[in-house]
Amino acid sequence: MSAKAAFAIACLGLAAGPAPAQDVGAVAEVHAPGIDLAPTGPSVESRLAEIRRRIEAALEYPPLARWQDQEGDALVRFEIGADGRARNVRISRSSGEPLLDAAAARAVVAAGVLPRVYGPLEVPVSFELATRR
Amino acid sequence: MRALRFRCEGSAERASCNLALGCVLLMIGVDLARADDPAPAPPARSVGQVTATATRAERDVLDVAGNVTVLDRETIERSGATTLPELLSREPGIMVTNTTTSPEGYTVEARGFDDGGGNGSSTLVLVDGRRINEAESSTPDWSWLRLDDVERIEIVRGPASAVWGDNAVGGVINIITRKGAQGTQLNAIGRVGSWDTWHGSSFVAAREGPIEVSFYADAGTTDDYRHRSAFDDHHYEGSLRGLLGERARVGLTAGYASDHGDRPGALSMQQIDLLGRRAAAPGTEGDEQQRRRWHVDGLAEWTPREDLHLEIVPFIAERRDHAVLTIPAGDFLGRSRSTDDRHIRSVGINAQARFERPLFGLASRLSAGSDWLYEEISVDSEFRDLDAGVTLFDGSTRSQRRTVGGYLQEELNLTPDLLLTAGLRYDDGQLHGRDPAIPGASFDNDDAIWSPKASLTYRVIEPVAVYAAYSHGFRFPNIDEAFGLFGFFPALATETSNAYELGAKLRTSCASANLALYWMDVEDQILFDHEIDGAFGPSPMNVNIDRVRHRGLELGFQLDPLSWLEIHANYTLDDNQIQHDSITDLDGKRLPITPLHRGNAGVRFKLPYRVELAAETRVIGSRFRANDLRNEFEKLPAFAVYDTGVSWRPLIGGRLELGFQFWVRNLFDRKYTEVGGERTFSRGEFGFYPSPTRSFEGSVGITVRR
Repeated sequence: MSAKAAFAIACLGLAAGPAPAQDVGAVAEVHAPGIDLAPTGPSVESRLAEIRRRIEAALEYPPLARWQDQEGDALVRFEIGADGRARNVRISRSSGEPLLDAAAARAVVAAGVLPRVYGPLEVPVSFELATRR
Repeated sequence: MRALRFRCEGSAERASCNLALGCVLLMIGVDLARADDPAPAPPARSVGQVTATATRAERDVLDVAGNVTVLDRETIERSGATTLPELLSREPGIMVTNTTTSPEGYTVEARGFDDGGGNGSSTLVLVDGRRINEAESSTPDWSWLRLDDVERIEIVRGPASAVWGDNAVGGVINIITRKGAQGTQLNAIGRVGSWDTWHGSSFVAAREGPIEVSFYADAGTTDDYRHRSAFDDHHYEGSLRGLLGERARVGLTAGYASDHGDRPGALSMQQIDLLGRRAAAPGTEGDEQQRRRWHVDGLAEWTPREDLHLEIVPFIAERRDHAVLTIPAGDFLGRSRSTDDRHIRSVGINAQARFERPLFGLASRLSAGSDWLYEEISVDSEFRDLDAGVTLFDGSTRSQRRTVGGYLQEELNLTPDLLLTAGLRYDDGQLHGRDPAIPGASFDNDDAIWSPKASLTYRVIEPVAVYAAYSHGFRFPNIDEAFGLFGFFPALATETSNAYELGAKLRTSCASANLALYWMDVEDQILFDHEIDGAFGPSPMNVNIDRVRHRGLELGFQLDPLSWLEIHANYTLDDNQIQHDSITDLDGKRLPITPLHRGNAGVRFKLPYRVELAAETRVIGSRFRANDLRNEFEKLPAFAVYDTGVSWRPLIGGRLELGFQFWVRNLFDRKYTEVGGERTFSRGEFGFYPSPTRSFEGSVGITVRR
């Protein structure tokens, strides 16, 4: 067995469901991280959209940040672990405000069990304040 | 020849220098640590944009019922102004005068209260939420406030005692100092100017995770325009703030400042002709003021619920002054000299809660606040007739001043476009003073004041709002007025005002405009009247004038019609007239110093490569001389002063910004006098404080962000 095939099978072992052999070969040729090896069920795009939806549902504007008029954009990098929860969550680009960064990271963790997508993921999180009327 | 020195002779200066050096090394260390970045992370797949929105806690300026201006750091840096009063003098409704030409002599008042009498005490000035009107005079010390250390200035014109209490009769100026930004930041500015003026400041800030620190230091020296008007100062301020979890924040700010200024005195017209405009007044050798102060402010913020915000600011401050002032020979006094040593200690706490919840289904916010202030004032003074060689007065006063107040304010959106604001505040002020050496020389002045307010703001269309407001203001008499150099007036009553205002505002991305019309009846306005006859001649007295009417108009606009052009102008009408007084003969007279008409205009050309050309003009109409409450004498003439400057602020690599500015003040070398008046002890004799002629100033700045 070639090293590439062994890598692909190892990856398959983490996948949610069985995968036809032809898909394994096709994906194993890609090499790049971030590949998705779960060929059945919803498409990658729809799983990413579901992840986005769940993070947004878990996202809260930090109350102290709102009272301090803080706004900003953070970029959160994470992976999805074997249990379907986010792991290795870190801020790859800070909003400039610790409260907003913490809230962005917390939303990713609080999103719960997420659809399986392999490789590192990023979610841009914007905190925007609407003018009081 | 004086040169700029970042002095380290004293222990305090040495410690501050070491701290500044430490901050710089810390910044470099952080930077070096970041140079060891790990290998780039593999590319990640984006799940798509996620957005959290909330309603801004602060109201838009359009929704505030009043003529309010906010000046941010960018505006401050582009203005070319080097002092806060200089920047404020370009604002409608704000009157700025200077009697020394140095920063120590500034007076800033709003809405007609700059009358040459109780100057500066009718406008409340706050720094990071702490009131800085001095305990004994109620006036702010503008030489202590450094524009290089300011992040934002909020100017509220008109009475605002329903929220802020004492001194908010003419307006409120709220100053927010610079604090830490993400990462690290270093900003240093060096200035050199006419009359051997040198000034340098540095600001270092760092924020890592939940902790932010900042340190500001400056030092300056100038010989200034007048002879014997040299002024030296230095100032240090450090701040440490940190998050406690995600709902609370605490902070501590500490500062120390000291300054020394010579006082050149006022010149008569004959002296100006003989000695020149720049001369110091003969016989004023040794007139000076030395001042040292420190303060420590705390901060605690907590949001126990999403709709509730609590904030507490405790503070403690101390100040020591030594001042010598010579008064020319008068009608019944020889040349005399006042020597004054003061020691003031203040401790206080401000607390505020803001609670947002629907009321009858309408968006609403309830604010409640309370503040307590206790001040001890020790004044040791001597008043000596130099010609006769006798001491006329040698006394010590020990005073305590305590004010406590609380307020409630409700903001209710009757419709999305119609905002109703109503508030009420109660203040209790107690002023007790005595001179231990003089039996019976004591006074107790207790007063309690209710201050209501009500306003309606309506957004006519999106960028336009109109408002109508009623507000109340007051200020308690201060120690200097009740127990000062010019007598013992324990019966002085609290000055109060009732103001009615109509206004309109426009805010778009390329234009903004304000119009305010106000009518304010001031009862018991405290004025210094030097012409009241006593048993031995003129007896200068602080008096309450029964009713003074302040009415006026403020109009200002800024236009950015083209990407490279910015135009701004404003006009202020201040019509201040004494309506009735049962004791003096002042009915119908106009207040001195603040003119009926004044205005500002400016143009700014934004050229390629971040080069800007700017021109500013300030026009002040004719006005009655200080002390001329009876409007008997020729007015001080109107004047217009033009300033022009060029700036270049290149950005290098996104993290380094340089700033070069060169300004010419009073371009056409106009010889004018901002302040002049009848001498206190000499009827018919006048003294003038000649204002600076043409001067030059250059500055170099560097800002590094990591």
